[in-house]
Amino acid sequence: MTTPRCRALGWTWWAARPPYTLVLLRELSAVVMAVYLALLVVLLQRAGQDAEAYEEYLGFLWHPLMVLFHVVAFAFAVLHTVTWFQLTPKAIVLRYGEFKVPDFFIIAQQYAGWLVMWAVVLAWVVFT
Amino acid sequence: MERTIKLDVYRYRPDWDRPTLQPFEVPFREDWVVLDALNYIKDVVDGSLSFRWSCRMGVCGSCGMMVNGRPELTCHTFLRDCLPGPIRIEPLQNFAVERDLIVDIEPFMQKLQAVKPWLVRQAEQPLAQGEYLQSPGQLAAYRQFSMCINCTLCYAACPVVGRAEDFLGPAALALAQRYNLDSRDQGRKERHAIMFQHEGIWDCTFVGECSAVCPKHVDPAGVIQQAKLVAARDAYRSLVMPWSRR
Repeated sequence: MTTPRCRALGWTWWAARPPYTLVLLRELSAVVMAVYLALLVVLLQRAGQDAEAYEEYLGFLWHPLMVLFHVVAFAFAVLHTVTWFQLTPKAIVLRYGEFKVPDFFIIAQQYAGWLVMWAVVLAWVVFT
Repeated sequence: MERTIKLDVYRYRPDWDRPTLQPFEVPFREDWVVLDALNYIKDVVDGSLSFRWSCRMGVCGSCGMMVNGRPELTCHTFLRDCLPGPIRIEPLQNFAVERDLIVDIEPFMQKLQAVKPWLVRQAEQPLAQGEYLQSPGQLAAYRQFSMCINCTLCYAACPVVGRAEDFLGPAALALAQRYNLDSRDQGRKERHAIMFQHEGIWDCTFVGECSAVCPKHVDPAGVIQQAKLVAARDAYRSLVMPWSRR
């Protein structure tokens, strides 16, 4: 009887292959989004207070490091959105007998929903 | 002068302290796959090299190895696609190595058995009633997932398998769902009890590489996410309609 040699996966597994790195970035994007949302919640809270508190917080947000964070957060938001939209057809399978709704339609309807929401928010910002 | 290509092959014996990569040089032929090169080494250069293979046509699933760090069926991987070399050949990742390129697949076999990958019937109908009929639509629901050849490339590609040894893994979950979706099967409830555990579908973080490396396009990653939807739906249903719990 022999003892098989165990080939354990180290903590740097995510660097072993580019697809693993992309997955790690995708998962990490959730953390970045959480921080961004926390900043947004504080902004809304300050907006509910007096003008001075609001202006002070805006000044904090215009700090070069915060601007850099927002640029990074935007990149992660795009990565998060695009990768999850791409993966949705894996989970949602619509089948009518032998016919399967093509992945393209599942992905496209999400982008369509995204555009509609974006247009609604833009209209609200412009017209109110 | 004959054209050649270099291979770095993982060598290991149970009585060795550590494995080593042994360089070999083999003839380069346009129509040779990596398995041909390994067989050349075994037949001509070093007969002690150990590896599994059988059908040589991508059906038996026994010649899976890491080729340049990616899980591949070596009978499907042409030398011409690995130029200029050297080609690094290692045993499948996430499995214990028995000897050279041979891995211990016993843990995988146990996981496979656990999900009952066969048709479960509460009661068999009498032979006189004939076979269990199925429409083309019912066949289409699970056909893609029935293509699995148990090559275990998906286990070698999955980092979760490498980090959580209790994880049932892509192929076992895909086969479980294959039988769940079969109109002739009645074992869904038994399989769900195993699949919906933490070590089942919920350990999967949707890396998706299991589907990317599958030589039969089974798409285990998709199957697992679909099973997660079923599990979530069942959980909400039993919350909203507790009387529906069985």
